[in-house]
Order: sequence, then structure tokens, then C-alpha cells
Amino acid sequence: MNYIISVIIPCYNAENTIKRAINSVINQSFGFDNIELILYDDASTDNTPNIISDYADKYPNVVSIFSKNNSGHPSKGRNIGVQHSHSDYIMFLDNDDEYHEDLCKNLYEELISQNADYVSCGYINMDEINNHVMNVPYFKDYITEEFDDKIIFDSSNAIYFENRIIWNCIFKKDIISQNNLFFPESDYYEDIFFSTKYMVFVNKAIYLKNYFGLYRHVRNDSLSNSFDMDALNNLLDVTINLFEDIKGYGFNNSLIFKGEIYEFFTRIYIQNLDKSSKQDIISFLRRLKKFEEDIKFNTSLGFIFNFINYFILKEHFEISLFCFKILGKIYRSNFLRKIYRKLIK
Amino acid sequence: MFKISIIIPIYNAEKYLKNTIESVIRQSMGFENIELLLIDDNSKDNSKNIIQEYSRKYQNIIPFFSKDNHGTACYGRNVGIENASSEYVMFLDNDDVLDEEICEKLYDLIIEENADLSCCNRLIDDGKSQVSYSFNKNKTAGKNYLILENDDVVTFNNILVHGKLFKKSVLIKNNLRFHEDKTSEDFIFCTECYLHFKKIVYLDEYNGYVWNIVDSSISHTNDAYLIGNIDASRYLYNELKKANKDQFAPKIFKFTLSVIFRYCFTLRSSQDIKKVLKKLYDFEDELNFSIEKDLLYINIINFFVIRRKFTIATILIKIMGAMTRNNFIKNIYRKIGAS
Repeated sequence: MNYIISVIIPCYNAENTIKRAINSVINQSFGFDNIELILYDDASTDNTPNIISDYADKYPNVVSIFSKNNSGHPSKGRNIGVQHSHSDYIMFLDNDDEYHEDLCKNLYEELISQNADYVSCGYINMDEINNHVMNVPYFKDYITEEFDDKIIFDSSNAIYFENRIIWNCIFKKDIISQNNLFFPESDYYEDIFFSTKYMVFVNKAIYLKNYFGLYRHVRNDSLSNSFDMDALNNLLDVTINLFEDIKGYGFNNSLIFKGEIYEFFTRIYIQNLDKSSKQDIISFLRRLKKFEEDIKFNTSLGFIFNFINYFILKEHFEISLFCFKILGKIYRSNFLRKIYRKLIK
Repeated sequence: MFKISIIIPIYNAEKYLKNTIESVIRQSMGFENIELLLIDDNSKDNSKNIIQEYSRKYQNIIPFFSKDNHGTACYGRNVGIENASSEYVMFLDNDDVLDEEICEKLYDLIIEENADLSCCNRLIDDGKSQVSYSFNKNKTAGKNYLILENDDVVTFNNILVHGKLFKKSVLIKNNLRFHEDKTSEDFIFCTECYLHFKKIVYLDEYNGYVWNIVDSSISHTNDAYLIGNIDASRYLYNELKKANKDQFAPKIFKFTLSVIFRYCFTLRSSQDIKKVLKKLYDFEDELNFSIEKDLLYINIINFFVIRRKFTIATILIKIMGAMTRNNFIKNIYRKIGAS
């Protein structure tokens, strides 16, 4: 029996949230019997495997895969999910998040009616305090056509549509298989790696700008504590790998990687730089400089980062490090942060 | 920064591609002096991965991937011309190999003589043996290479793209590119180049390029190829007229004519042969000159072609074809020592 869409959820120790995620797929207005739900358990140690088994027993279109060893990343579950899927269209969901009930229907119908290779929409970040409505960024010079409800990107523009998350969009399985696309098993950026490479082969991408189809449950401990120099170097490795893979396609790599470089800068000053050795930080900055040269980076990062980047490119790493430390202090001081915000505005 | 850019257009070449690339890396000139451009025309086999592998390993290997297939190697060669960063460019097909010394030899020669083109001979490799193919029998005293200048350039009958080092600035300045919509693009490209080159040096005793014809995708033994050749000649004749160099047409097309007849020998069907001869007649009719022919058999056959006696000409071609295929007769022919 062939299904229209496969939804793949990699699961790990998610007993508190997994039912919410799964139910949001079952409640799809698209019709759950058109969906193949693939649940990959990455050797959870809590009650997640039992929950998965219950759903698999109850519904014939729920496929459960249990791994004996924990791989440490959601990538493996996604890759295996794609291999096992029986549908032509693929969507992903993380075990913390949930779909809006019309997500599958809206994405699928748009894809088919427009003969597109990729459709995505906005999403909502929900943390403990607020809901933030998120629009997907894109470079305004690279739109093919804009309507009231959607924006279309053609073959040469699709790569500049910067939706790097993978849960608010629909993919075509044949593009994934024919080009051997996969999620690398790394701590970070595995979704950016996958979706950027996918966009290389897209002839038509659509962004439903007024529809917000995904609820992301964001935890507040994300950025500041979990990043150290090892993590930053890992991030840079994935970014360099991605560049090596797409550099032959003649894109404006300066634009494509602008977001990543901006994020590197942000992550550097946010972490507590006193915890890392100066040598480690400078080695990282040196690698970053080489990467910028390789991609011929020539885009603006904003006044302050441009200023710091000037010193990095001239190999005055000590000065740039000093600037990062100042930024870090501003970030961590409420008083200074308020002044900083007033100055920026 | 780099002395030479080598351009390889690639399509479904997984079988031989590594060998081809390795022959560039092995160059006696030093691979660090070479920029290697690998242009993939949307291959469906493992070629893309091979390209990725090499371009990650070497900084001077530049990959180009296309989302669409363009059908001929012209696309890749043109992308190469436009993106090469060195002063001199060389073209390599994705299943051929370069001799280890070709870059060093051709580069030193083109620099020393300040030429627009330096070239050598190629070996034909059919998987069993290698046969050298040389274009010129004349020797220049004192040197092991020939210098051709001014009017000698345009009648240089070496119309292959293999085994040549081109001065890129002349190509760019005169907008010389491979025509994607035509067959016999090598013939057209070289002849158009010769209209704009002032000095060529030809290392005529050196085999620098090995042409692999084992799985060759291009068939030289069908009538469509030969008709394409004639159409290309017609196009070139018009270009010659525009450049006021049509006085050289007889010499230039002499070689083309002998090539066409020789390939006609390999055609089996009388219908195909007649088709080619009719096209040839149309072409010769248009020219207001007669092509120089110094080979006896060409004279005889062409005598009937220009009088529209296609049947007789076809019979003669079939006889000659059979003779060239018959070893016994070939030996006698060789002993008599034909020209």
C-alpha cells in the first residue's frame, strides 16, 4: 500500500512530548490514512519505545523502527526513515514539536498545483513565556514572483531562500534519492546541510508567507551554555563540508553563507570566552578567516561585525578577540544591553 | 598564479575519469602550476562523486556542476574558456590521457617563441596498440619543431583540439568559442582560431596526447557525421569570405575532402554514400574555386562527383573501400609505395 506523504519523527527519550507530536500528525486534515508515519527510536531509556509500540499496534500506517544503540543525533533516524519510506513526498517532525492540523494538506496541495519541488511556510516558536511568530528569511533580490499569499523561487533563486529548518516544509523523495542527500551525523547544522543541498536541485520553491504551520517548542537553555570551542569548530566543519559540496554550482556563496558567518560571530561573543584557551579561540578565528577567503566573502554583516571582521581578515586576532569580549560583557549585563539596544535603534 | 589551465568537459565518464585526472596530476611541469577545471554536464553515473573527491583534495581543481545536460562537450569547453584564470588553456577529453611531459613541452615552447598556439601529435589508442598521427611531413632545419606564421597559419591542416595549448587572450578577444549547435565543432573551432592566430609552433615528433577510441561515443563512420563535416565546411567558407581570407579555401578544404573520401570507404550502404556525395557536390558547386587534390584516387572519384555521376563514384568508393579492407591488396599497395 503506497501512501502519499511519509512523516518521519526521530525519537529519543521524549516520553513527555512524543504523544503530542504524534497526535498532531494523526489529526491532519489531509487524512491520516494518506500518511505513513515513521517513528525511529534511537535506543531511548525512558517510556518512549512503549509509546511508539502502542501507536504502531493501533495504526497500520505507523511504522516503528527500534535501534539497539544510541547514535546521539536525530540524523540517523531521518536518514533511515527516508530509506524505509513508501511515499513520493517526505516531511520531518521532531519529537518535541507539533504540526498545525492543515500543514500536510496546505504544503501538499501547493506542491502539486504549482508543480513545485519544495514548499514551506512560516512557524511559531513557543517558549515558556511567549509565542514568537517566525517568518522565513530570504534575499529580496532573488524572488521570482510574489503574490498575496506566497512567494515563488525558480531554479536559479531557490538556493537564496533561507529556510534551513526542515519541519515546516515538504520534500520530494526522488530529489533526495537521486542526489544521495542525507543528514550528516553531527551535533549541529545537520538540517542546514541537508536543506541547502536539497535546494541546489530545486527548480521551483514556494513559500506560503501567511501560513504558520509548525509549533516549535523551544527551550531556553539552548545557546549560551551548550556552546564551547569544540562545538564551534564542529559547526565550522559542517559549514566547510557544505561549501565543498555546493561550490561547483556557481552560486553566490557569499550570500548563502552570510547567515552562518553571522551566527558564528554571535556564538563567539555569547559564550564565556574566559573559559576557553586563547590559542583555541585564535585557531578557530584563523579557520574562519580561511573559510571567508575560500568563499570570497564580500557581504555586510552589519556595522559592528564588519568592524570585527576587518581585524579577523587582517589576522589581528587579538584585537578581534578583545572586541568579542566587550560584546560578551554587554550581552551579559542588563544595563549595558539596554544602552546597546538604544544605540542600535 | 597558474601557468596553464586544463579544461575537461565531463559526461558519464566514471570508467576512465580517474585515469584522465591522474595524468594531469602527474605532469612533469608540477601540478601546482596547473589549474584543472572539471565541468560536469549533469552526469548520471559516479562522475560527480569523483569530481567532488578530487576537488576537495586539491585546491587547484575547480568543479563546475550543471543542473541541465547540454548534449555536447562544447558546453564544458566554453565554460572552461570563460572561467580559466591562466594565460594558456588546453582541452582534455574525459576518457583520454596526457603524456607526462606535454604541459612542460608545450608551455616552454609557446613562451620561448611567443606564439598563440603550440601543439604536438597524438596517439590513437584502440586498446590493442597505439598509432601515432602526425600532420606534417616537412621539417624545419635546426629545430625539432615547426614555426608557422601569418599565411601559413590559416592553412595549417591540424584541426584537432587535442594536444594543443592555446593563448587564452586571443580566444577571449575574438570571442572564439565552440558552437554547441554544430557538428565537427573541433574543425570549426580550430579553423576560426587560425584566422586570428599570428604564430603557431608545432612539435611534430612528439606524441603528447593519447586519444582513447575504445568506447568512443562519437561515430565517425556514419553518413550523418560526414554530412555534418560538409556543413561545417560550408559555414567556414563563409567565415573565410568575411575575413577576406577565402583565397586560402582551396588549401584548407583539400584536407577535408580527403578525410571525407577516406571515411566514405568505411560506409557500407550505397544509399549513405550517395547522400554524402550529393552533399559534397552541392558544396563544391557553391565554391567558386576547385579544391586542390594531389592524391590520384581523390582526383578520379571527384571527377565523377562534380559531373553528378554519383552511381559511378559510389561504385569506385566501394571498390576502394574493399581494397583498403583487404590485407593482401594493402600489402601490395604498400610495396608499390603509393603517395
